[in-house]
Amino acid sequence: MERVLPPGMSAAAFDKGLVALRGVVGAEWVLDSDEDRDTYLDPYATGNAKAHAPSAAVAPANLEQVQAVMRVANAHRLPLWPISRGKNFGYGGAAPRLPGSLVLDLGRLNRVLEVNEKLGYCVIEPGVTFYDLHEHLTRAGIALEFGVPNFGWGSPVGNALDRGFSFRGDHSSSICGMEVVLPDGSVLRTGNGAMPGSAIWATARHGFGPSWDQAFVQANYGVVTKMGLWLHPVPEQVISVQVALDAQDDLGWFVDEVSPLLMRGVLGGNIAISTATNSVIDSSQRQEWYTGPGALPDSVVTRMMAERGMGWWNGTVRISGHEDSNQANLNRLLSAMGRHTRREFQVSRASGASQAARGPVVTRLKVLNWFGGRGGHVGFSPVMPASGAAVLGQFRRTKARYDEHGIDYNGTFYLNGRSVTNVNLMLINLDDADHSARTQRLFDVLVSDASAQGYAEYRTHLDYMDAVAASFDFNDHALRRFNERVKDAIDPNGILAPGRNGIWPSAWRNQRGSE
Amino acid sequence: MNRRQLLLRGALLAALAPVVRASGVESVDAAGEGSSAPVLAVHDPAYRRSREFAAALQERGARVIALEPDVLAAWHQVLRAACAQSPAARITGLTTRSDFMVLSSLARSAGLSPLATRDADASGELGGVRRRATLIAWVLATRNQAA
Ligand SMILES: Cc1cc2nc3c(=O)[nH]c(=O)nc-3n(C[C@H](O)[C@H](O)[C@H](O)COP(=O)(O)OP(=O)(O)OC[C@H]3O[C@@H](n4cnc5c(N)ncnc54)[C@H](O)[C@@H]3O)c2cc1C
Repeated sequence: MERVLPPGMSAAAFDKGLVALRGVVGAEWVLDSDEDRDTYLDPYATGNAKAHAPSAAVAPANLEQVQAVMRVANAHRLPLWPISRGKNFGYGGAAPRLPGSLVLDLGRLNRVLEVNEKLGYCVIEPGVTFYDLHEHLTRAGIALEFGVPNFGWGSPVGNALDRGFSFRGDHSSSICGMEVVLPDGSVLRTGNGAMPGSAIWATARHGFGPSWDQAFVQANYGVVTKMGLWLHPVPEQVISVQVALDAQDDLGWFVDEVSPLLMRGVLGGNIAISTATNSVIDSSQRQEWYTGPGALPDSVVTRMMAERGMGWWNGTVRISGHEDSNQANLNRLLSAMGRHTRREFQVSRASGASQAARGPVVTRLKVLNWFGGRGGHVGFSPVMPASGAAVLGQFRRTKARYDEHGIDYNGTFYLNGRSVTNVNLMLINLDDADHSARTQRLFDVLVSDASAQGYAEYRTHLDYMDAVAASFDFNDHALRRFNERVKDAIDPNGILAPGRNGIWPSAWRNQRGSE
Repeated sequence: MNRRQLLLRGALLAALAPVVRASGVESVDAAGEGSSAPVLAVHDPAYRRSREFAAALQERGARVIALEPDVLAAWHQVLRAACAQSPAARITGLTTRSDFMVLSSLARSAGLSPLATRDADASGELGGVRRRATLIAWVLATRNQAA
């Protein structure tokens, strides 16, 4: 991709900035060849490829270099977009919101600084991948584990900073203490880390006064260079219950029965329940099932269910803990479901250690093969209350919209206890411009349908950040105005991640809503 | 190996000739020891064509590596060390596009870039589930080899 500069910046001014950055990190770590730039593009970009194109990337090696990069960025007014590993596929990958931003690639800060087995936490740098952490724990024989997304290529820090989750629940809620470089290049430690030599930085959350950890999540107020994360002791046993529900409406009672079990602690983490298509899209191609017009008809889904022995809804409920309490919790789950179905569910038992030994995998990326050629995906993920009626309503509305736009419906509902997160996967055929355009139209309509219900997305792609932020408009966008007042106070030159999650610094505010 | 398998392999290699040439497998000395740079042939066990491709290259002296349990593990457990040991090694494979996407990105950190690619259809079975994908044949080599 040819070079795209920050809006309004001359090539000469930009190049001067690059010279200064080379002085900080060394010439080889300012990455500005065409090939370098391509590796930071959104791998699934549809439409205008330049909309989120970076101008270059800079890869500091340590905290001091991160600080110096921030100072150079201020002096030269260079917008930076920090990434940990940049594998945020489906949400923009490593690409920045504002075209022409420099990607601040933190992959070289990749040390596991501490793991405390007894107290169940680690302190890591942003470049540590899920695989690195898994290897570290396995090699050292430490009986702790952590949540890994379905696509395990990224990093615990980057994932938590975008509120990623796994069956263990929301990863941002495992954060305990951070080291952050502020936009002016100064360093802050949050929580108990503000006390030099703190013995409880990564074990006790709040410190004294306001608690700032979450202010750096889905925000653009600082670059996180260290993070404390709580890990989970490997359980004695894991029971897996394969749930398969035959009818579309079964989703309603499932939500109403299982959510109270989550709230009472009978079940932990979150419980995912997905359409049959979800199990088919990563192991077969669309043309094997259907070549007609429009979205996959329900009759085809019924054929998938019959051929693969699935229900309309399918999921694995994991019960982790000690054997005796697991059995009691299993009985509660089975009796709750037994009130609605006579189906026998497959139950398997394994030691927690054998489950923990499985490393992160990326097999889920095979969904990209669904159309045969170049594939991509976006997820539309609104959150709603944990009520069967609300969830069924959301499912029916969304599926009707997919059918209307001729896009194959693929939904997963993650039960969190009090709320349900509905991830709607839209697989995109990048070789078919019409299909990409229809997907975009569908996304737009789903955003407004959901906000009419009072539901917003938990996380979104770069393209939709402004639209989603705009739907939080109580009292004439009081929250957005507050976010931007904070932004202007700590980042007056607007150098850090302008536009992230709809937060625009005054220097770039005219870019709100830009493509 | 029976005659039919032999023919199938021959046809596969002919169809993917540019990739096979770029892999440098022809110049690998099957006897091994210190001759030319090693060729690592990776395959996705779910697809017969992928297995056949790797097997055919194995007969020509390539080392075969299965993407098991997946491409990420294969990189971390085998390929990364193999590349560090023989910096001139080439990696070739007939895999899904998504596995190629992941592997080519990981291999970039070892200084490897794509040298040749070609599409090929395949179907297969793994764990009792039928699988189908458009596979892609590819070679990753050091940048100076690629140039
Ligand atoms: C098939 C598929 C399945 C997926 N399944 C899941 C899933 O189950 N759960 C899930 O959560 N995600 C899932 N994802 C999305 C995504 O791949 C993961 O969330 C991934 O972990 C994010 O990439 P990363 O960890 O490299 O984070 P990054 O891309 O590095 O970071 C994400 C964002 O956080 C900010 N950021 C990152 N690091 C810093 C820092 N140090 N300081 C300040 N800001 C920072 C940036 O804005 C960045 O864009 C899936 C993706 C695919 C393709």
